[in-house]
Amino acid sequence: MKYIIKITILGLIVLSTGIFAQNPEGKNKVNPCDSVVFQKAQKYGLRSLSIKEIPVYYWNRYRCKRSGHSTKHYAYIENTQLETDSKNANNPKGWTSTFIYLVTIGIVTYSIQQSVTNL
Amino acid sequence: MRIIRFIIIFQFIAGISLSQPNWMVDVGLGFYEPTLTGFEDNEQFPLLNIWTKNILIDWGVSKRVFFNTRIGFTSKSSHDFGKIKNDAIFYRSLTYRALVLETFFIVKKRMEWNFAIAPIWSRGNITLNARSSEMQEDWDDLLDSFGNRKITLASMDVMKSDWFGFSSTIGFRYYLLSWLAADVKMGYMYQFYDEKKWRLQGMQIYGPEMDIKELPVFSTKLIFCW
Repeated sequence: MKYIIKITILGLIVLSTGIFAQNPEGKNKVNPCDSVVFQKAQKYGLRSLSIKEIPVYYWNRYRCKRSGHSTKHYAYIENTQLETDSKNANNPKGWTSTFIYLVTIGIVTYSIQQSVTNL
Repeated sequence: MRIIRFIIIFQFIAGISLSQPNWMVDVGLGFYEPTLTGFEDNEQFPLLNIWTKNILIDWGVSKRVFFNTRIGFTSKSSHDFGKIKNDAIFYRSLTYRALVLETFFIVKKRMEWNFAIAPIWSRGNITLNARSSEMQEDWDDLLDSFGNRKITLASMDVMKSDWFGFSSTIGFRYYLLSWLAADVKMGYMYQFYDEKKWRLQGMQIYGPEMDIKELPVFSTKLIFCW
């Protein structure tokens, strides 16, 4: 329990450094709908954001929505990321197909064995 | 030689923590049906219920290491606490910790099948907060000598046991958002538990009898990924 509390506090500290970090774009007010983090996500995808940038990205998204702007471009990035993830892992690659067969055979054998035992 | 080893380990750790983030943290609940004879048929312990017997608290961390492979750590634990017959307070936990090797493929946008094999290192703990009459008397004498009133004291100790096993699961995951997913898994745990291998203060003792050799396991999780 102690460890869970410690890890949670540590996690909050790490995340807060991202949220409350100094604005990388200077002290001038930045348009939350077109921040540097947003541009990075738009160019390289959501997975390119570091753990510090993720809370900043979602904070900007929230601010963008709150300021009355459309968040369609944010939704587009989200959608593109899901599509990219899907494309990158739509087929078992290399040895992973053998691994999948092994796991499936193991579980099927176990289920049959259990059914027979329970009869 | 030491320096080379240090550099390799440092590079490995730095590589994992600073490389392109593809981490996942999950929390959820598991369900299994063990036969905890040592607790169920033991008048010392209160009756078990679904929360103390069948529900597992599940959490874990994993990282994508290959196109469609993840490695990670998960922990499933069952907890129980209360008073045993002679009013001493006990706490019991069974923790199944696993090093998971998981492969997955996304069949349709947002929908993923995953397959995992995991060696398990389990631990059982029974903590007892009991009163010892001899110890109480000694403390009473000492406290009395300083002019104190009597204070009821308790001493706490833990008996524990470790055992190995392995687990295999098939799961289905649905990505609600790019950073949030719901996951359902089913599979089994195979464990080499021996009730004769418990430890208390360095001595080997007998522990509770439990039939946890082959157990089907179900789990539901919420996954946060980045």
